[in-house]
Amino acid sequence: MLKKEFQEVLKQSLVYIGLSVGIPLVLKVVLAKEIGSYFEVFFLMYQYSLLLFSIFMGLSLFLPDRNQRAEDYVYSLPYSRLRVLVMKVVPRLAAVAIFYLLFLLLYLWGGQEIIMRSSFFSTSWFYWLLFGISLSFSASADSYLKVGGATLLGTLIFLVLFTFVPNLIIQVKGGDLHSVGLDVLSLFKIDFSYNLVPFLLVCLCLMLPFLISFVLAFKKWGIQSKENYNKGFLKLFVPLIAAGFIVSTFFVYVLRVRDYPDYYLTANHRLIETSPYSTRLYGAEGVKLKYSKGGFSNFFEDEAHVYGTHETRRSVYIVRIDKENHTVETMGKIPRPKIKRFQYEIRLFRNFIAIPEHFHDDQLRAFVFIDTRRKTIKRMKTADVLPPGYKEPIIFGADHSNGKIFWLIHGRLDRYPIIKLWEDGTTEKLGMTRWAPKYFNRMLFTFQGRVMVISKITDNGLEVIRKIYYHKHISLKSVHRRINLYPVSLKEVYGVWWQKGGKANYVRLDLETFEISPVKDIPTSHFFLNNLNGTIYGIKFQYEKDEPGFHLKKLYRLEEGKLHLVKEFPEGKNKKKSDRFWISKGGIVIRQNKRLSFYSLPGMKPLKFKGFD
Amino acid sequence: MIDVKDLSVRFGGKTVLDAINVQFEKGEFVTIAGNNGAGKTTFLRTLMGIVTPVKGEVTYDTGISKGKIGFMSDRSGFFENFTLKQGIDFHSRVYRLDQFDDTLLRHLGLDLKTKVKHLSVGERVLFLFSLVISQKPGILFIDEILHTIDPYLREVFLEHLLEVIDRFNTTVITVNHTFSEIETIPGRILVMEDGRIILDESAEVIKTKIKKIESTGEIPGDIPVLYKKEVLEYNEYYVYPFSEELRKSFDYQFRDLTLSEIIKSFIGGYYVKKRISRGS
Repeated sequence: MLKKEFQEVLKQSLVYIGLSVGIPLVLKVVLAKEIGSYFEVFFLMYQYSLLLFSIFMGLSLFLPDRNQRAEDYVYSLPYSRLRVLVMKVVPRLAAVAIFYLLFLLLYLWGGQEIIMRSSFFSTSWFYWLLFGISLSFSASADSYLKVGGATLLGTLIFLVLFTFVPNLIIQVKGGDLHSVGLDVLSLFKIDFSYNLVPFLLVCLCLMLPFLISFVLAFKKWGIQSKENYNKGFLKLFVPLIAAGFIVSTFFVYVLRVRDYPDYYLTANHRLIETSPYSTRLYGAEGVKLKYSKGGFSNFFEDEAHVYGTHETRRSVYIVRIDKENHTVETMGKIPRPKIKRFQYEIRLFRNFIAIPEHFHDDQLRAFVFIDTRRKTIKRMKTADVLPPGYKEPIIFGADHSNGKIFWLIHGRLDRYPIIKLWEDGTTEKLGMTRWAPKYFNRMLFTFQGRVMVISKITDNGLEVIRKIYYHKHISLKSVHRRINLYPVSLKEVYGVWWQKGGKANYVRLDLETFEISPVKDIPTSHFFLNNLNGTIYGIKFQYEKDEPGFHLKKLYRLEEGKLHLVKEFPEGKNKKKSDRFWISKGGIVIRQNKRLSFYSLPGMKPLKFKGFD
Repeated sequence: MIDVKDLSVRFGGKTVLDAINVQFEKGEFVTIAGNNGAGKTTFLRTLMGIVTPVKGEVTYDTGISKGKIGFMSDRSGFFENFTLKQGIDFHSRVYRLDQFDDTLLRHLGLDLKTKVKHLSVGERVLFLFSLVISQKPGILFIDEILHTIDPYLREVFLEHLLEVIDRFNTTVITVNHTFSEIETIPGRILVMEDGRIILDESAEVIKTKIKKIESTGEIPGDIPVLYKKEVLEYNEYYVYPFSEELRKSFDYQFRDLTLSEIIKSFIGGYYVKKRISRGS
C-alpha cells in the first residue's frame, strides 16, 4: 500500500517537475530577451507553483481512490483506518518536504538574488499552511473543486484568527504588532526575523485543530458517509479551534517577547536600558532608577534631563528623567490611534518640545508644543495655522526674536514652501526652496537648482547673505541630531552630491568663509556622520545582507575636511542578529555576541556599569 | 461466529440501520434482500468495518483475522491504472499470499498485462473475485454483483463460489436481487426494510411459510395477505404467514413459491405499505 502510494506521488511529482522545468523553458524561448535568465523565470515560477503543489498533495489524499471507486477495496484491506491514513500521508509529506528542501537549496544557490528573504519566508509559511489545511479537508467532499473550496475557507478562517489574535492583545495590552512579537506586515509579507516563538505558537495552536479534527473524524466516522464525516469533523473542529484561539491568545498575552533592549548613554555617563516592558537607568554603581510602565524611544537630552517617549494603547507620553536626581516626570501626552502606526518627529528647542502629530496616512492633525519649564501643553490644529495644500510638514529649525519663539516648517509640494510659525500660532511665509532647507548658525540655507542661498531671518522676511554656485546640487547632511534644534554655533557643515549609481561625493562648507571644498577620503557606503556636542563623528559600520546584525567597524573624527581615526573595533567571531551599536552624546554602546561594552565620548574611555560585567 | 448487537447507523439525520441484532454461523450462506434503500449495502459495509455504526457492535470469532475476510463491493472498484499483474502483486503483498490462484483469469483468457480500466464489468468482477478467493476467506461479503454480469460468467462465478465454500467452510453473506441462480444453494434469507430485518428464516422454512392464491374475487379477511397483485382478470394474493390450518379452512389452492417470488412479494408488500402511508 505504501509502495503504491509512493508510486502515485512519484508520478504526480514527475508531472510537476516537468511543468516547472518546461514552462519556463517555453517562456524563455517565446519571450526571449523580454524576460530574465532561465533560472530567474524558473525560480519564480517554482516559488509560486509550489503553493499549488502543496494544495494538490493535500487534496489528493483520498480523491484518486474515490474517482476510481476503489474506496471500498482500500478500506476493506486488513489495515486499521489510522494505518491507511499514515500510509497515504507519509509519501505526500515526503514529497512536500523534498520539494521544499529543493526550494531552500535553490534559494541559497541563487534565489536570494531574485527574491527577498521575507518572500522566501512567507512562501515557506504558506506552503506548509496550505498543505496542512488541504490535507485536513481532503476527506470533506467528492470533488477537487469542493475540497479546494473547503481548503480556501479553512485558510481564510486560519488567517482571520491569526491576525485577530495579536490585534486582540494590542487592544487589551497596548503596543503594536512588533511589541507582541507578531509583526505581520501583511498577509504575504511576514517578518519572521523578529520573533519566531510567538509566531510558531500561534500557528501551532491554530493549525492543530484542523489536523486533529481530521485524524479523529477519519478514524471514528470514516469517509463512506460525507454527512457523518463532516458532522463529526465540525463537532471536533469547532471546540478545538475555539480552544486553539484562546490558548494562542493566552500565550501571546503572557509571552515576554524576546526582545533585546536598546541603550542610550547620557552626556553625564548614565546608561539607559529600555525594552518594550521596562526602562532602567544605571550609574557606575548599578541601577539608579526603574521605570516599569514600559519602554522609551526617541531619546533626546538637554543639560539636566533625558527625554523620551513611552507609548500605550491610547497615548504617547513624553517623559523626562532628571540626569542627576534620577527621577521621572511626565511632561505631557498626545493621543494615538488604536492600531494604526503612529509616526511623530520630536524637536527640542530651549525649553520647548514640538511634536507634529500625524498618522500613518501622513495627514497632519496638529502641532503640539510642550513648555518643559512651565509644564504646559499647547495644541495647534494644522488647519488653523498652515495654508492649504501643505503635505508632510517638517519642523527643521527654531529661533527667537523679540523674546518670542518661532518654528521653521517646510512642506512637501513640488517644491518646499517654508513657513515661520510663531508660538502664538501666527504664521509667515518665507518663500520656496527646490530642495529641503536647513537652518544652521541662525542662517537659512535654501536651494534654487545649483545655487545655494544663505539668508538671515529678519522681522521683515529674508535677508540674503550669500549665494553659492556649485556644479552639482549639494544636499547638506543632517549630521546634527535632528531632534535637537539647540543653536550650537558650527564652524563647518558637510554635504553630498550624488553620482549615478548612488556614489556619494562629500563636500565641506565652511560656515565662516562659505567656501565649498571636496572631501575625498570619506567612505561612500556603510558610513554616516553624526554631530555630537559640536564634534562631527564619522561612523563606518558593517552590514551584510547574509550576516546577522550591525557592527561598528571604525570611528572617526571629522575636522576641516579630514578624517581622523579615533578607534578601530575588531571584528567579532560569533555574529548575532542582536549585534548592534548606539551612539549618543555620552558615548558608544556596543552589543556583540550578547555582550555589552561601553565607551565614553570624546575620550573613548571604557565605561563600567555594575550589572554589565 | 459473527455477532451483531444493536447495530445502528445514521447518515446525516437519516437512520439507515436501526438496532439490528443477528448472528451468523460458520459456513452459512446468507442472502440479504430488500427494496432499494432498505440498508442492505450499508449493513454489509458495516459488517466489513467500512461504515462506522453510531451504536452497537459487530464481533467476529477470535479465529478470524481481517485478512481472512473478503469483500466484493457492488462498485467493483479497483486501481484503474494497475495491470492485472500489478493488482495481483499488490493484493498478494497486502494479504501476504503465498500463491495466487489464476484459474479464473485463465478461464476468461485474460492477459495479465491488461489494465484494470480496460476490463468489462463481468471480467472485473471475476478478477476481483479471484483476488478475494486467494485469501482463502473464512467470511465473504458479496454485494449485489450477480446481476451485473452475463449468465455465463454468473455460472462460472457461482461454481467457484461453491468450491470456496466447500474448501474453506466459508460463511457467505450476500446481498442479492436475483435468486434464480442461488435457488438451489441451501441457505438463510434475511429481508430488510427501512434499516431493520423483517424476515430471518432458512430458505426451506420460508418456502413453507409463504404461499400464493390466485382468485378472481376478493378473499376472506381471515387470510393474512402480505401482498396483493392484480393480474388481468384475476388477483394474486401472497399469504404470509401461512399455516396448514388455512389450507384446511379455506377452499383455495395455496401454491408454492420460488425464492425470487417470495422476495418479490416482500418487496411488493413494502411498496404497498409505503403507498398507503402516503395516502395515495
